[in-house]
Amino acid sequence: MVAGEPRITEHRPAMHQVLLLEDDPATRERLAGIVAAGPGLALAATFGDLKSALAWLASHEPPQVLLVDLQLPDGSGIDLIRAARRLAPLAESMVISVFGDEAHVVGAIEAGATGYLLKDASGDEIAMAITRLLAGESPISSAIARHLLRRFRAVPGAAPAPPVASPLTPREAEVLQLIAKGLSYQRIAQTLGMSPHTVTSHIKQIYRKLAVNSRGEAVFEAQQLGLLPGAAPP
Amino acid sequence: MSPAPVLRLRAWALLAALVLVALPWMLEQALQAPPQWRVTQAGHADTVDDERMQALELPHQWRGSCEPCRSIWYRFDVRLAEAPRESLAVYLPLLADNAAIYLNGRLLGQGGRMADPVARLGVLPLWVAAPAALWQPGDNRLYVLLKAEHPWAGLMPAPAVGPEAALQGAWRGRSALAVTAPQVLATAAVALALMLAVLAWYRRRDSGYRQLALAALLFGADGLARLVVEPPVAAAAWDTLLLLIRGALVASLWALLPALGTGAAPAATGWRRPLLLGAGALLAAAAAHEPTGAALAAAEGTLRMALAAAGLRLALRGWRQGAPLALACGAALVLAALADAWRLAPISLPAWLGSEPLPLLHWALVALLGAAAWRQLAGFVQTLNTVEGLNLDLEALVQERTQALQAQFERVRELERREAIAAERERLMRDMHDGVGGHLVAMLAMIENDRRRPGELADVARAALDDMRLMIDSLEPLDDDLNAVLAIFHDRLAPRLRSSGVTLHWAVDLLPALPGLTPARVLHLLRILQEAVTNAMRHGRAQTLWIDAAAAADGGVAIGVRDDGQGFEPGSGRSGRGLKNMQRRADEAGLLFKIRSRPGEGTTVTLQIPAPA
Repeated sequence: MVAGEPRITEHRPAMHQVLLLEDDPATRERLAGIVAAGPGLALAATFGDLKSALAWLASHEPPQVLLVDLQLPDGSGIDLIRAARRLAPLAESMVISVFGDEAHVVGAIEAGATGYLLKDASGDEIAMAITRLLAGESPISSAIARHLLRRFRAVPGAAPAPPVASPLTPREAEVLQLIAKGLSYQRIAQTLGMSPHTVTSHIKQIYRKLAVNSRGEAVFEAQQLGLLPGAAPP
Repeated sequence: MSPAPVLRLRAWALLAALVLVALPWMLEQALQAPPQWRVTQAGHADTVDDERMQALELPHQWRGSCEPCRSIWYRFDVRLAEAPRESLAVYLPLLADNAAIYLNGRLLGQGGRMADPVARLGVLPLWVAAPAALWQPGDNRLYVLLKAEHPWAGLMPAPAVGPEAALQGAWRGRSALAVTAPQVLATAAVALALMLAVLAWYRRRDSGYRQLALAALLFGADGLARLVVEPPVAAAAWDTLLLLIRGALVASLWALLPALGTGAAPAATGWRRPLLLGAGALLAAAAAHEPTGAALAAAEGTLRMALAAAGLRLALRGWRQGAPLALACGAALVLAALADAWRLAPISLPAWLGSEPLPLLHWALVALLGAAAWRQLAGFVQTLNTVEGLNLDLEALVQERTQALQAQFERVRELERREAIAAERERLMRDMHDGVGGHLVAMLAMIENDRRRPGELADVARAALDDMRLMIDSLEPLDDDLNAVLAIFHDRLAPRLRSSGVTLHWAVDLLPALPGLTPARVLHLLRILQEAVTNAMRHGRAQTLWIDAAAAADGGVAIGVRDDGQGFEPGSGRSGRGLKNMQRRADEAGLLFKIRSRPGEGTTVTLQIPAPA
């Protein structure tokens, strides 16, 4: 397979279509295999460079998931994530990263990514991460939570003038902070004196706001204006 | 200084002295009564007895002509062609002590009390109106009774008889010159003395202020006391007091002289001051013993001579040093003293030199005091300026030093920064050598030996990546938050356990902040935890993992990793190397490491992080 040449698989509407952008041929092949074998997942297209991925995205039906490597021969994968906000507003973007460290992932999250995959993760791990993301389950890692807290300065009790008006309620900020501290949902519920179910709904609410603020402003506004059917956030 | 400017300077100084003395003299002459009204011919006797009247020419100085005199009657004949239509006046420009004026048998007026002790008019001029009705055509007889405490002070000037308005003007001008001006100057001197006294109090080490304050005070006291008409004490005592004040004034002026020169003039110390004090005491004793006219006159004369000597000394020093101020003041003193000695002597002066002289020394003293005050205050101002200049210099110096210090701090900080970077670099190198390096060497060995075990190779590669990740995670800004460290670990661990089918029970409490959670310690901690989990999965084949963390009672934190795997016999060969490694890392990071295991009962690793000291 030549990098940059899209390999288009058979289109099955029931499956979640996945776009893969990764310049290393071996890794691309491995990930493509994992996606193709994943339950409920279908590979829409794979690319080795940014330019062809962008071109494809502009001219095809949008996929549901984008797996994007950041360092590419002709640019940064962040550009694809950003383009997806416009061209595929309902799609989830995930960063493919070697280390998943904040320095590399944060820019992508700012651009609209909702999670990351580690390149050396096992096939099961990767497939599971994608399906869980599509199911809307626990998308917020502690690193992302910390990043959001820093961005919104939503730390309760220590709040100078926020650089971005925080969209979070104080309760949501507290939940986010405990997620950043790595507490389990049960512990969070205990600590804040609420039921685990309430914690989950808070997290969904945070995620919805996160999506609005980073990835899906257009979608959100469209929903507010009644232009789109009530697409439930993941 | 070259000779020519010095000469010019001296000439100017001498000229200034001359002007200083001539000016009051000329003023005094300008304010005289118009000459056509002056009456210079008179008869005199010790009683009102026309038979005994002897003719004389005025002014009449008693000293030398009538030593025992206390009072003298003078008779003037004023011839008028017709009775005046307007009021006339009689004006006496200078008196000894007191006088009464009679016209055609009627008392026109007097200067004050005629009974003993008589009023002392001194330099006060006397002016009385003579109404037109009192005059008669032809001869009019005008009598003046003059009384004096001391015959040596007795002086009858030439009176002026004329139109009231013209003589009143002369009287006013004379009063201003002889009374008001000395009064004002004396008052100003007292005020200056008070101001200088305050300065002297704060500058006790500088005797200049003290000496000047004393001189100004004595000058003021002398000037004011001499204008007292009715002395508050007995006449003899008053005379003694006046003499003492003047003696002290002369002594204090002597002490001021050095301050008027240039350079480091010697203070009036050594033999001069005791001599002056001794002379003053002698003078006072002589005067107080029996203040006869002769004694008082001698004392006054001595003081004048002392002032003249002081002036000469000052002028000579000023001449030598080229100090114009000292030269001018000294010369003025000498000139004034000479002029006074001549003008006040019992000899009649030529008409063009004027009559009824006032002492000129007084004005020279004003100049002397003014010069001394100017010198002192100029020194004060100069000192202030110098101090301000020094302050500015000091400020600049402090600023310079501050900058130098700041640069030094910068250098030290830069050095510290470099050292910290070097230390961190060294640590990272060591960590990479221990972790990733070791794994890569192992991989290389496997490949070269061609053992063809892809599973093992993948394990080692994954271990290398895991270790890299731990290093990167340990470098994140974690703000001493152990919760954040464990959260990262959880996020790394959970997907792998999930895909391996291992159940994770994660029970981490909110933990206290742990200052001193450096990247190095975090890495050790993460590696120990990683090793514990890897052991549980690989060697123990665990199905369930319990990881918990809670605050300890002492402010530290306890972390536990428990599994339900096979366990092992502590001390057996299999566990040796890995456990030793974990123990070493715990020691380096300052952690308390414990491991408990038995075959078939799983393994529990406990890590205790002590509270920060």
